[in-house]
Amino acid sequence: MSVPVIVRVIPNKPKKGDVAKLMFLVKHPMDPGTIKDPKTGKLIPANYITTIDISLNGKKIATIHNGPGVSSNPIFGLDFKAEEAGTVKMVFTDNHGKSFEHDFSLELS
Amino acid sequence: MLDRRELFKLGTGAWLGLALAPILEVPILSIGAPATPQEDAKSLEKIEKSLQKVFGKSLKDVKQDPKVKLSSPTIAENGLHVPVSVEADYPIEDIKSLHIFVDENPDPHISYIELTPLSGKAFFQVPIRMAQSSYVRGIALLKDGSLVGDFKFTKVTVGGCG
Repeated sequence: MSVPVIVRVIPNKPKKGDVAKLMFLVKHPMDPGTIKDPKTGKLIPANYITTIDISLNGKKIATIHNGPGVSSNPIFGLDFKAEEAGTVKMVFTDNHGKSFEHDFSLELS
Repeated sequence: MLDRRELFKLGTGAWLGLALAPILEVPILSIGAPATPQEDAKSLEKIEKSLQKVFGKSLKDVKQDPKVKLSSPTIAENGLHVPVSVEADYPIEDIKSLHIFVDENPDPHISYIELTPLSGKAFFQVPIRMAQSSYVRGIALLKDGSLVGDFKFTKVTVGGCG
């Protein structure tokens, strides 16, 4: 399973050791299991991302845990310390236990 | 039938009434009446239950702290997408996690982030669903186990929980 993820680091190339903002959009329906399908009138089964692990070169930055109350196609925002250039890896896990990854390379100015 | 002169007289009368209304304290229009946040026992019970489950503490243990800033709209047009962010002005080593609660949702514990020293600064932004007008609570869990937070009432015109 792959889900489109759009990532933006603000500023684009942070200075070494500075605190930068990481924002990312996940294209996912995030169905909470309480909303009815307007066509059939049946409940749409729950399908949402529960955990997001974010790490830089294998070192953990943060872990986000979601309940069913997060919007569809959510934009998450958090801060991180740009200690070194490298790859930022994000591991998404949904409520069925399936997981998928997204990574991008972080450049420093 | 009214003639022109009488119409003018009526007009002046109406204007006079409007001008006198503030002195006489007569409510003309109730536009801009402040939304009164209700903290009824039922919704408090829900959030108490959720806080007990997550931290094992009650709402009275959460200190309101100006260092914690919750930003959420005063009036949200669409309950399906309410952008909320929490910021805590504490050293990152002292903070364990940031939590977002909404009193009136079926599950009040919406989302939380576990922070590490590599996080640099305690900041978390997430768009949430809101069933109805309710208190939004941004709560930070510190390393020593104490809770600090910021509460804000958000009015929702169209609910977004099904």
